[in-house]
Amino acid sequence: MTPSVLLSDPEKRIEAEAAGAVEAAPELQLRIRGLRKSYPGRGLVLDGIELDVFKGEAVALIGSNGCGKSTLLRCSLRLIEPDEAETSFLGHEVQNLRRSALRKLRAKVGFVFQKHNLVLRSSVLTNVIHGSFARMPGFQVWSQATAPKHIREEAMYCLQRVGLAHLAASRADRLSGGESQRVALARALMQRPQFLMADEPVASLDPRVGDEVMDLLLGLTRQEDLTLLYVSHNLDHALKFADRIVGIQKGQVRLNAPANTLSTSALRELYGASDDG
Amino acid sequence: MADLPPQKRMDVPGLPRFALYFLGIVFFIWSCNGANLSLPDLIEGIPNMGRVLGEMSPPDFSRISFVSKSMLVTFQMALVGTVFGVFFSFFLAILATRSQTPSPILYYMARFVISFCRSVPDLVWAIFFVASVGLGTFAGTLTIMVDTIGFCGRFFAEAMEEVDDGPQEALSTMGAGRMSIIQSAVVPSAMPSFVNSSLFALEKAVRSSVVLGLVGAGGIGIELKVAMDLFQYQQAGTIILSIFVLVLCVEQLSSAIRRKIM
Repeated sequence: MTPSVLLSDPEKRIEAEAAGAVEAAPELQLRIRGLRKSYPGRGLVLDGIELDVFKGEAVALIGSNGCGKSTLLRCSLRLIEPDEAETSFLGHEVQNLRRSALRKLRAKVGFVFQKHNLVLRSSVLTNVIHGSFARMPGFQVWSQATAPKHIREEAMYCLQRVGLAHLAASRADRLSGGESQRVALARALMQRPQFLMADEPVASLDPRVGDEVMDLLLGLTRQEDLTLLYVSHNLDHALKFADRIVGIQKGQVRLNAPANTLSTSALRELYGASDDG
Repeated sequence: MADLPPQKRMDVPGLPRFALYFLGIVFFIWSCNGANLSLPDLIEGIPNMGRVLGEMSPPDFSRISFVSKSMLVTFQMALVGTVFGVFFSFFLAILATRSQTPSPILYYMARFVISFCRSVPDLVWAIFFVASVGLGTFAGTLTIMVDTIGFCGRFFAEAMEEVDDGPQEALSTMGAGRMSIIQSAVVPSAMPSFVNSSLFALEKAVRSSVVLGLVGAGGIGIELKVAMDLFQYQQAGTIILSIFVLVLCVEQLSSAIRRKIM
């Protein structure tokens, strides 16, 4: 039994552990069971999703447009309320969390968006400083002008990690797409996250910059010993920048396998049938 | 060509619509009568206008220092009223923004307050405040403040409503609270609109602060009224010229700030 198969199959992992065949199991950080979500006019988008993500893994989530990949990410943090789900995330039962506890959980998860979602009229440094909202009194980190010195220094360090310390004083609306996404990544690092989520992080970037950003995203995930769950339409990226690929079709998980056992043609089959939901 | 769908705009209006147009025109003609529009009176009044303008020139600058002082007070009244108005508008606008308000009841209450401030004319507010706090610039300042709330409250709320919700979602994901999201994502994005509306409010306040003096709410208006009542047209000319200069300066200044910030 290969480690990659163990990684993707928790039941086999548990059996193997019991038999003493493997070392201590990696921590299960995200466990989703029976996730259902429907939208008015679109019907059921997610129909009983089951998904496990272990510490240190990089998991790519693929599937055709409208199949519910982004919804899945958001439902796991209740940024969108699921109709039904049992989700355990970083040791918290997400469905039972009250608002303040939910905020604390979200703070442990760095989220990188397709459109970067920076505050465009604020400086790059201010945008990165915003990553510390959950651990600082709000008014102190509203902007770089009010932030304490150690927070500014930490934000500069995060910018340095993504190679953009020289742009700290620039306004976010003056950045290129690739720079913008790097700043979003620095902002996520500023959260001191345990888990990274990215929703089509390179969809709006050209192929070269897209590769650079994915390289950086995976590199930081490895260096910081984080876990990465990202949505992608780029099958080459999924194969290159993930340990495991999870494919969604018609609201259900249809593929869940280590990336090194898959090929582009195998992944294309997922896109063969159109999704109604 | 025959297959083209019929164009609604090219339809011949039906009888009810014709009747509606006709009633509209009749009402307008009736309104002209109600407004006492009279071409002969206008023609007859033109020489009088010329005479009054003639009597105003050359303007009498003997009291220019007094007039300048009154103009300064008028401007101060407009400035203070606008600043306080903008301040209160900001908080009311948060409550009056569907996406930011903490509760629907507060939303409707804030909307009502803003609408009420806007729909009551400033002269009526001035009369109300003169009766409440007495004659003088304080009544004028309160009037301008309330008028600004009616004006800015609406535009601030609309600006916040239109802000891209992406950065707000990002901050929410990072664990930011409601006030932090407003301060860090909504306010910076809506800032150009806030500045624009505030500067327009200041221009509007300077113009209306001139008129408020007519009902005793302080400022240069009362000087103008006295000069006109006493037929001191040359002094009135000086005051009107000063008002023109002040309004022009404020407009130029606000245009410059707008260019710089936008």
